[in-house]
Amino acid sequence: MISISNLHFSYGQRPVFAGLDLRLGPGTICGLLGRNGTGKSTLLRNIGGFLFPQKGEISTLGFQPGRRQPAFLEQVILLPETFQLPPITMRQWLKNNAPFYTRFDIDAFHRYAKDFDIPSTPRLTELSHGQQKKALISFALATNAPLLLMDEPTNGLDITGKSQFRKIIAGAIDESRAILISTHQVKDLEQLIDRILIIDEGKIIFDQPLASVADKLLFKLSFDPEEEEQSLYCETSFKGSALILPNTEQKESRPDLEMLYKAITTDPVTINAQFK
Amino acid sequence: MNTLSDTFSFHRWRLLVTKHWSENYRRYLLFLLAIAGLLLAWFSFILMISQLNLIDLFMQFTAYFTGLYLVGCFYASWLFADLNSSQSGIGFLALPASHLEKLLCALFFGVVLFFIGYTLVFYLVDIPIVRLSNSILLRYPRNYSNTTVQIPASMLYNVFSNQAFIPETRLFLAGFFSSQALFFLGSVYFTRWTFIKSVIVGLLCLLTFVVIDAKLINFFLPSGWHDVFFLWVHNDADQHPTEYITLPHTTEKLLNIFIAVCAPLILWIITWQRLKEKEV
Repeated sequence: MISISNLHFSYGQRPVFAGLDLRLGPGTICGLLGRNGTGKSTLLRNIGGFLFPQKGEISTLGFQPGRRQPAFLEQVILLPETFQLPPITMRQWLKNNAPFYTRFDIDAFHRYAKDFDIPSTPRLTELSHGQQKKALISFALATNAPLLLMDEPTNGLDITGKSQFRKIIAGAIDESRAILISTHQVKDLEQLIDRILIIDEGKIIFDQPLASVADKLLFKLSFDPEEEEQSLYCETSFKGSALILPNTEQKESRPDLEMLYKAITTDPVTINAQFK
Repeated sequence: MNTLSDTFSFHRWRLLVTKHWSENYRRYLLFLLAIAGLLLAWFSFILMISQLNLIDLFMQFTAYFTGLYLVGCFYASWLFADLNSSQSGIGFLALPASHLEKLLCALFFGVVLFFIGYTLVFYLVDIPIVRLSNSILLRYPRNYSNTTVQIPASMLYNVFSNQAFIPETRLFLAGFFSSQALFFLGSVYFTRWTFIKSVIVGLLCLLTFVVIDAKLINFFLPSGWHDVFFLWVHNDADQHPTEYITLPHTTEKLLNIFIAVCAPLILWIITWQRLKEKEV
């Protein structure tokens, strides 16, 4: 679905990517994590055709994104972090925009809108930012586009909204579809993503399926100083030490994404070595 | 490789037009009402202060073209305002329609519908005002200053043909479409202060043209000749009759066609290319 090789991109004199490579296939919900300003949104915009690489190649669903052909735009939806909806009714908004998407499923839209509890107001602009975001997510899913790019989709959603989001996204994924979610709110994506990508200083420093993370690493709380010595990453708290250990005995544990993220950004070489 | 349906589909263009109208029609109706109000206020002011022929042809001409240029250029620089910020720019560029369809939709509203709407509103105000002006003259006849010649009733200004004592209407109309095209390009090219920056670019173009015409062409002319905007005049100290050289009729016609058709077309094509290259 997405194939990026040797991507170079900079804002003026400030380089963002210098030789980034990435492959993403269908049937995946991929979490793109990284610090602020490391290029998560820039990467999504390059994939979506809103920014053009200075060097390297991007192929999204076989299209060159920068050409922004209508057939491409119909199949790749970018949900930006900030957006603007027109001051019209939801019904009129659907009537204006849905016909551009040949695979748009109006019933699915109403189903998602109901699941999200979007209230019916005279105009879209009368909805809160979070509710507008829910309307936009419902629309994006109802287009049945094979590739969804979401930039900080949980920003502005309340606690219930975040759990509704996870439930809806998990129900919307199938083998023909891929969703790439960029976020710095790691906890929001737990139990949702099946692949994790961590970006830092313009490069992907970690790219593994979550199943592989659970297979190779052991996440546990411990009071044992010996285990602490052997750990790949350790965080001490009053509940004991939260550790990431090599999973040599194939024990089962639930990956803590926030801890994994911190471990990788602290020492990517040691963590990546476990996957070789 | 782009196919024809990637570049233009009438169905998608129609959808764009419907969407644009549905999202903006209230704004446009208010906009037209505001134009009508401003014209009415201006003409009423003239009726109150004018001692002579009230709303004459020249008054109508200046009101029509001042409004057309100011409002038309401002509107043109607003039509791509979505591209000025990433939050609205992504929504605009992400809509599954080609760049050409998006440009043609903007041109349909900004050039065709605006011109029709503005001209209609102008006449809706102008016709009753000219009638009122003429009825005032009929009721209170007056003469030109220091003469016994009575001021006649005013005619209605015709936007589509040249009338006596009025500057070349067709050239002003043609110039409008070229100027407006510059504002379309400016709105895609610049990201902030699009209107002001386009005005500056337009003035710089005009200044360049005037400098070339006044200084550069005169530099190459023989002694005693000078240039007056594509008209070359010779008058010497020996009181010989003044000589004129004009452009050949065909060249002048071609120049008019360039200003009326080619210049806006070229600027629209550049806008289209720039739209394709636009990043948000």
